[in-house]
Amino acid sequence: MERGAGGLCYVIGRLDESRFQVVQVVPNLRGPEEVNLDDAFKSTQAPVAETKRGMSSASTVSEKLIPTANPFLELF
Amino acid sequence: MTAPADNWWYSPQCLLLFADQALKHCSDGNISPPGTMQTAIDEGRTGAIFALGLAQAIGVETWIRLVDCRERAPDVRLMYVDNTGPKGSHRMNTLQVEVVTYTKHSTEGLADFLFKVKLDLPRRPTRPIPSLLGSFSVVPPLAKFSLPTPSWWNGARAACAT
Repeated sequence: MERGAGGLCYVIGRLDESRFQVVQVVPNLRGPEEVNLDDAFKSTQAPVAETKRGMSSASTVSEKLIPTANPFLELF
Repeated sequence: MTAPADNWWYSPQCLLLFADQALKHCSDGNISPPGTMQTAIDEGRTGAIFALGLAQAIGVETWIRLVDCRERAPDVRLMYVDNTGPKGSHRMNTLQVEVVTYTKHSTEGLADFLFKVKLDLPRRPTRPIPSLLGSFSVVPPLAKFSLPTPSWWNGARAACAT
């Protein structure tokens, strides 16, 4: 995935209730990466990241717990 | 106090749980999700699964956020941070993701579908949009297949809570 890349295309296929495959099909075939949601929910990744803008393209991410609203419920 | 919305990104897992929570809210209230909300849930779930696959492929955590429906496109935005900035500094990479649906009821093959619906550039040109935050990439089509059943999501939520 290069900077400024365009025309990328990925396909997601479902294997069963909790397993998916993610494949890059354009511009070339890469993968598949198998995504197991059972394993994904064991991740220690913070639920929310807050980005801080700087003067350049460099930026940082803080992984602290932030009270957030459910973005889907805001669509009511 | 909540964080300013334009500065935060959700983990894919968090967005999946939020989607489940929103559907349960509707189910408990015996109300049908509004069209915009159902569309956002479908696109958010698909984008989150894509984000998880991308994270595995490139070996970094990925983040996702919904796009205001008034923007029309893209559907969701993905973000990850790598060390490709000047002198190995952190750089934020943003992907603009558009989700399309291909089902077993589609009358044409997947390849034909992708090229006709999303990759026919003269009909659907993709234009980079300047990003304030870093590099920019475009991911026009992301085909979506059927997603987990409500029972699975309930199980996942229970597993996550323990």
